[in-house]
Amino acid sequence: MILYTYQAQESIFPVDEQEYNKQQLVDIPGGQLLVEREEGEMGGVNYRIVRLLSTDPNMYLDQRYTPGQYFQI
Amino acid sequence: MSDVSNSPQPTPSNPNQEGKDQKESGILDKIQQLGQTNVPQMDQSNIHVLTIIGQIEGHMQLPPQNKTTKYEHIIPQLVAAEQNPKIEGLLIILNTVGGDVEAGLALAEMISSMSKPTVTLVLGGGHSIGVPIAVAADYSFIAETATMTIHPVRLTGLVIGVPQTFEYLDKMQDRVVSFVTRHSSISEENFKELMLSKGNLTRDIGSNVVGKDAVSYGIINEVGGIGQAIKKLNEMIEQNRPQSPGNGDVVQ
Repeated sequence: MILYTYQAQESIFPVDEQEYNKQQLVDIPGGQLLVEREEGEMGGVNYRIVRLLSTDPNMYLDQRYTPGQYFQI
Repeated sequence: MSDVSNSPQPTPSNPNQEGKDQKESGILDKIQQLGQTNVPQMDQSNIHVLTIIGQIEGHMQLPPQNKTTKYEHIIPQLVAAEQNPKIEGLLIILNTVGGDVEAGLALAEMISSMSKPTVTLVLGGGHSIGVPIAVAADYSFIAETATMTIHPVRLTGLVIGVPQTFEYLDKMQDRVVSFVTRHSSISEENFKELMLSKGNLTRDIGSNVVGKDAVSYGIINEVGGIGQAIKKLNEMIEQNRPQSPGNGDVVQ
């Protein structure tokens, strides 16, 4: 089936509620980090950085906050 | 944090001990990750950059796979930039498809009311409600290949089919039009013509304005990129600095 519509995709195909719970915001000095929860191998939980929210351009050069890095909460 | 150092330690027992352990493990992590304990600090930049990317999210939370700019993130950042004396200018980089009208106008109003010099740079796209944000700053740039789609306000979802709904939408659109015409040199007549013209967009009314055209219509000040934007911002910061004549230092 092909559906042509002006409606947004999410209003036709609702997203699983659980998807929202994976991501969370963490406060860091100078901004915030959007992190995604990942289940680790040993049953632990890892948080991977999705996005850095800051207006300070120098923070984007900081390797600790590079998206894709694991972050300790 | 300052409380910890000031407060006389009431009970030198377990809670403090735990805090110490955590601190030590934090340092240990840093050594493991970076091979050193302290990350070199760069000088603080006097220009801060705000990126407005993806959809501008309003009251409805968009699914996590959407790239969004949330106003609850941007507004505190704008407040901090306005309030922090070390920040002298703000560069706003836009690559947005538009989004929530109320949220977009809120951001545009915040940017336009800042006392510090602001420059916007439209890269890729500054569509729909991105237009008022692009014109909100003191000076605006657009990349040569960037586009801005100007179209009437639309609504998705359940709408009550009464004349009042139309009037409400019309009023909302007037707010957008008046904001854009107040903050750029395009006339209301021209802007509405772009907004309501037919045949430019597939099965829709409105028009798509590319780089140079946006400048010739008077929506954007200049075609340019990051280099020109930073240069302009630095010039504006210099002008904005309180003039300190030679004897100003002597007085102090």
